[in-house]
Amino acid sequence: MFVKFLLYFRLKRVAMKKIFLVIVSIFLLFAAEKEDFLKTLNEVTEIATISKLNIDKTPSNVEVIRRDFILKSGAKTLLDILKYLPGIEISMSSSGKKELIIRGNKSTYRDKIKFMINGVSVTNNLYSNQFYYYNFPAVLIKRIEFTKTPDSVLYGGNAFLGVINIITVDSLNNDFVDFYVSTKQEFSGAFFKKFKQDELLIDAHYSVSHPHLKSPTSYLGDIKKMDVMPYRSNVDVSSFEKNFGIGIKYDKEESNIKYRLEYYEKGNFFGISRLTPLKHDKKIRFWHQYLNFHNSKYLKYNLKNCFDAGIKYYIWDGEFRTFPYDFNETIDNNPDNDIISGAKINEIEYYIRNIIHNDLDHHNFVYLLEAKYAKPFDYYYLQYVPSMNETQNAFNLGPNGKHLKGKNNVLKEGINRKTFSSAFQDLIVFNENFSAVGGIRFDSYSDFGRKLSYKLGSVFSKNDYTLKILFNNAFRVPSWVELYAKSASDFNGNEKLKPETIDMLEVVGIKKIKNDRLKLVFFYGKNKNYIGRKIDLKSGKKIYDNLGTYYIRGIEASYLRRNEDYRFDISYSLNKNYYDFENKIVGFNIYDWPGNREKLIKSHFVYNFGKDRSVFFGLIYGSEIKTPAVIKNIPSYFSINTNYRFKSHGFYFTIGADNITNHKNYYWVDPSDLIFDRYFFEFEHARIYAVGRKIFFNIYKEW
Amino acid sequence: MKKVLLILFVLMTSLWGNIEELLYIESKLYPKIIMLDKSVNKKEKIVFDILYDEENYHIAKVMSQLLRKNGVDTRLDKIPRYCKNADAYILVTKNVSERFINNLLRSKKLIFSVYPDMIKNSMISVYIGIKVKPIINPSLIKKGYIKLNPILLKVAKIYEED
Repeated sequence: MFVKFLLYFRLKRVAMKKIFLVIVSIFLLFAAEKEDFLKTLNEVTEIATISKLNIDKTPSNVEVIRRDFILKSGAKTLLDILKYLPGIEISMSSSGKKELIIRGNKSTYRDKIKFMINGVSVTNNLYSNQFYYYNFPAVLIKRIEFTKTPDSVLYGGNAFLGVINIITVDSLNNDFVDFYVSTKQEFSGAFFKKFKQDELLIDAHYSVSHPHLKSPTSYLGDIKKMDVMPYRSNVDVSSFEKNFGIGIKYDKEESNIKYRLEYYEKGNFFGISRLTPLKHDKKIRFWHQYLNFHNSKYLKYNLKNCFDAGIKYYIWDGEFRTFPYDFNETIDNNPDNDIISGAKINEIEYYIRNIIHNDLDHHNFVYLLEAKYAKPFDYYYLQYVPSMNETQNAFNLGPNGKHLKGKNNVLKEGINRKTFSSAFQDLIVFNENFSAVGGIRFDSYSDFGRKLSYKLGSVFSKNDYTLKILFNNAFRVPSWVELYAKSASDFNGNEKLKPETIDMLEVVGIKKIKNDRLKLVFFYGKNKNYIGRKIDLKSGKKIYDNLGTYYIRGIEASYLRRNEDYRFDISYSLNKNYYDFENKIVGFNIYDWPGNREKLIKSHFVYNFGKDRSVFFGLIYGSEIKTPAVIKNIPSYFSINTNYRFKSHGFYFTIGADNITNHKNYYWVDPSDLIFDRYFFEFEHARIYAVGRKIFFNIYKEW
Repeated sequence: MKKVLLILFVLMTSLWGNIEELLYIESKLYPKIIMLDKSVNKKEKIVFDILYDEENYHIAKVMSQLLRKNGVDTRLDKIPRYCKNADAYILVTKNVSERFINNLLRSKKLIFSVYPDMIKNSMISVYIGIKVKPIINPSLIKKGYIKLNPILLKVAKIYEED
């Protein structure tokens, strides 16, 4: 009996255990399904945020350009796309460097933005610029995200006037090959290919252009005699540019490795000293490479850790023909009398970054930690006059291109930059109609000190209306040139520089009805500690300094109508910017003329004839550029661009024309730096020509 | 359960973005939602039947490829054809007859829509706001006798007709 009882009890225990295990398994299965589902919800929210599907709901002012528009616009390069954005002006400085003027802020040699390719910053430390990427082929771009809101909290220094993030084609795109040719001696080719079940992606491109142009006549000015005389008459020039690049991405589960190289080579174009080179145009070569390892892992369904580590390598290598050493005595136009100046600078940067995203019901926390180490190495200065051969003097400083180091080096030697950053941001979603964001960031730079950045913002939406109020404090890191340059010309660094800061208030109103979207933006920004060059009264040289406050004010209005058949977009922007430099500038103050076009009107229309044919019309108008009274204002900019795109035998063909009316467009060029504290060169009427009408042809094949 | 009346233009907002990204989001989300359908046999490989019209064939094909990458089987059927043995349907159309929907409802399977503004003819689609959420149409879920895990109802937005 007792044995039976024990057996019964034992069997019951086994049965109970089994039942318990089944219940636990069901519970765990249910819990796992639930957790898996919630994790996926967070993942897809992240995809929507990253791909900007929900931009109107998030507290930032972002413009997104997507591939459909990019392909149909007939754009060859990145700048060909950006030129259609409200408040963006594409310009050019004297040596042919392309410039982005954002909200009227013209800043020669550096555009004060954070520029990223697939989330990796490619802005260099040397001069905090990135124009080697401005010719990046449009066909390799999947999406462009242009955040006009300064955002140092998430992006750190240089996210000053905004952030441009270029997303290249990925595993969701088809393989393709593309060729482009134009009547302005432009040729380019690009391809994209996926391997190993889309785990390995490779893209590559090559382009070369040398449109023939007529250079303006150069004038020589003498500030002591208050005299200006013609110096070199206009000559035929070719604005040589060459790009090539390669991008590789390897994805494996939660990690990926990205490598990208961009090479850019350019001629002197109209001359860095506003003096067109006569022959043997010298060239500048830029190499930018990065290798980035990324890992992202969900620690819990609502807790994600993202880790990045990488290395960037940048080379600036080139020479300029500046001016003939004897320009004040004999004007014989012998190119061998030109002073050739140049440099080679290698820059390396190592970085690690960890970001934790914690996505709760009403909060989205971001915690960031980042450390960087960067330094220039193997750098030297060049300055020689070919006709002087071995004779060493103040002009022929390093005969036959000898590498000049030590006291003659182009930058102070032995410098480096160590950076440590931490940031915290919380996006609070009160309900579907109201959310707010707050964030703070601390940066410590070994070469100029510490900086605190912050932001506050809110989004209200009700029915078809959205109102965003955004306030951001951001900063721009002084570049190594601004801190440490030791140039024989007027680029002299100042180690006492403070970072530039910006306080920007933006009010964004959006109204949407079915296929229509109306957007209105008011912005008011104070750019404090503006970094520019001024004449130092002690040394008589031009040095970098914090000059004062620059006010950035204006409005942007845009209207978009889109349906399956067509897309129509028109925008208007107005900038009323001004400098307030309180007697920092002695004598002629170039900062009295911001050099921008105050009003911009842009429009485009794409009409689709079914799936395989489309026609595009684009219009860009920019108002006059105001100049000093002695010079006529630079006339308004006007360009109508059009193309027709169709598919035949599996190929897409595009034939089109830019500036179809061949309107004479010009860019404003201010006078050169002073030479021997007395002379300067300037082009006739302080302007250079833009390329005229261009007819192009493009073939694109995807599979 | 949040009761939210969603007017058509609110749903249209997601289409301002690229359809490609919308499909990508749906291809990740829909296989997880189907696991919350109590009637689905989770031991076997899930089969989605993608129902398209001529205009949307390309989108249906892309959706099929994306779903397969996420470990589910798919088949493509041009409306009015459909497979009775599928585990769920995905509508890739903007024009669908009430009769066809009623036929699908008889099979008592989940009906998803690629286009959020077609939620009135389907049971589930996606809502893209500051957070991405499923949007569900309770009247069709009831008509289709579908029993869903409460977690879905807890996080989803609810569609009600005007």
